[in-house]
Amino acid sequence: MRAHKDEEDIKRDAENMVEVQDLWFSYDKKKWVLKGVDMKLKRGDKTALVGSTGAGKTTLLLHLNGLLTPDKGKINISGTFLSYNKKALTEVRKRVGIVFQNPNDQIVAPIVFQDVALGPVNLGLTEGEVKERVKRALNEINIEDLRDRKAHELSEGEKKKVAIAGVLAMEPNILVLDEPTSGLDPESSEDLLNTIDSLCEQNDNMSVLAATHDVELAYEWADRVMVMREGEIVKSGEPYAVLGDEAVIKSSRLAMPRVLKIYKGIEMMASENPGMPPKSVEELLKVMRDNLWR
Amino acid sequence: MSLHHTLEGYTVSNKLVNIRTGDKIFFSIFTLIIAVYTQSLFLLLLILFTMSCITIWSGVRIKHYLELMTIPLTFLLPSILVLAFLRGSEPVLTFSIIGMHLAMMREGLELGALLMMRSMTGISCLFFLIMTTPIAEMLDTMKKFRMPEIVVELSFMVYKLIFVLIEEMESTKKAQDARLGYLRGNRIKSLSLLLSAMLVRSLEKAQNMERALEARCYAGKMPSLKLGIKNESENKVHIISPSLILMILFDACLLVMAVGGSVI
Repeated sequence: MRAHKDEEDIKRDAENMVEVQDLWFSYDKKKWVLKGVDMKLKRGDKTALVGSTGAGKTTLLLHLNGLLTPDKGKINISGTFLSYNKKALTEVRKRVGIVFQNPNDQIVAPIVFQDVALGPVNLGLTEGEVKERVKRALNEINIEDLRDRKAHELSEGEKKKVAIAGVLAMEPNILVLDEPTSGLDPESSEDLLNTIDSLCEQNDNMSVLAATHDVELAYEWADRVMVMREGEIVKSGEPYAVLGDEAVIKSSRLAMPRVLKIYKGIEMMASENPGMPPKSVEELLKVMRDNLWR
Repeated sequence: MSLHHTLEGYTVSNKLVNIRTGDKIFFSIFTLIIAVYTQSLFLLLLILFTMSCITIWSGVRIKHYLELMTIPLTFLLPSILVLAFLRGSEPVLTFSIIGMHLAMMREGLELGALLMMRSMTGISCLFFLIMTTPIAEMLDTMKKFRMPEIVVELSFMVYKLIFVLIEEMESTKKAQDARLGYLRGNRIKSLSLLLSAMLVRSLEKAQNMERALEARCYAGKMPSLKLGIKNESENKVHIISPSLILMILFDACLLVMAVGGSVI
């Protein structure tokens, strides 16, 4: 029986790279910002944490690499419970990389390669290793041409990419992005998401968690979606199941993705099951062609 | 573009960026010491002119350089004016305001002029250093000179946060101006609002920056610009370089002139 349990534990650890158990946190010890959050991130998954402003998304993200210490609850990263001594925190920060909402807060060095090198230099790597890591990180994000540029001359989209490269140079296996597309124009947003997608394709083991209030982005991009409301995760699962739940969406002050809304309408009008829910406008058009214009 | 970005831009792209930071620090500090020591107005003018010329030649725009130079001038001029009324016995200009007789003295004026020249010359020496040397290199050299780590780290934080403060001030002031915040009558109130908003927002920004640094395991090390050199052979260190010899020669000449001048 025990052996069976151990096997199950190992399997669970391998699958869940991050497991948050009953996490409680308050900034002022008066009002709870996180109220017993339970969350799991699987290896290789792209997960979106959706919630309106003030739902506690950023606070939750800051817990994942020990930038905030919870009042209650545990965080398990790849099978190890997070402890808050300097050595353990360095280890967890190597594994979990956070890209902040405003890249201007994150980029501190004047030249791109200097900023990307900040993490590796502070990890105490040799000059050769640092150079190698910077090269690899810039290559992964496809911004080698920005290497010698001054950071303040970059566009917002480029700055976001540099911020991601700075985190990738630490070689994390969990990438956490806070509002990755905020402040970007549609083209830069799409470009950034494509970059993240190709990054996931290159590294099978990498899990990505993106906090956003953009339901359209969450629906199209993520493999799994979690909805957060007033410090609690109210629903998680497949994007269709979560973002298609009208009660959850409404009570969380969110809006249903447009593609899904139209699909729900077709579902009601069509006499038979219209097929798999579409992820994109192209897929929606196919559903419409098959069900309405036949 | 903000002052911060302009300055940072100069430090990484000027013509003297490849000269060793230690040499530049030595040159700037030694020249500064001569400027403090000398009594000769001519020598001070010579240093001010040379230092300004080198800084501008290295790539700093004259407009920006003069703008920055006027900042200390606004502090200096009032104190020098006061000095002109306090020192000496030979009046140059006398006048009276509301029954009070005031006289500007020759000795006071001369002392004021010397003081101003000395201050501006000193500032030109420091401007040369800060406009031609990236902060990372400066911190690196401070560490090599065995400065305590806490001083080096604090210098970096202060450097970064001063600009955070300036940026916050600029954006808050713009927001106030847009709503006619500085019309006559409500200036003091607007200023107090500006200061309190600046404090709160700067603290927030500083916290965000601290978190971002902590998330990347920041332990007080800033990557040096040398990391950017692709070809290792360019990175060779010579103990004596032509630029160092030139700097030593210049300082030696100044020293001879300063000592000679004071003897005469």
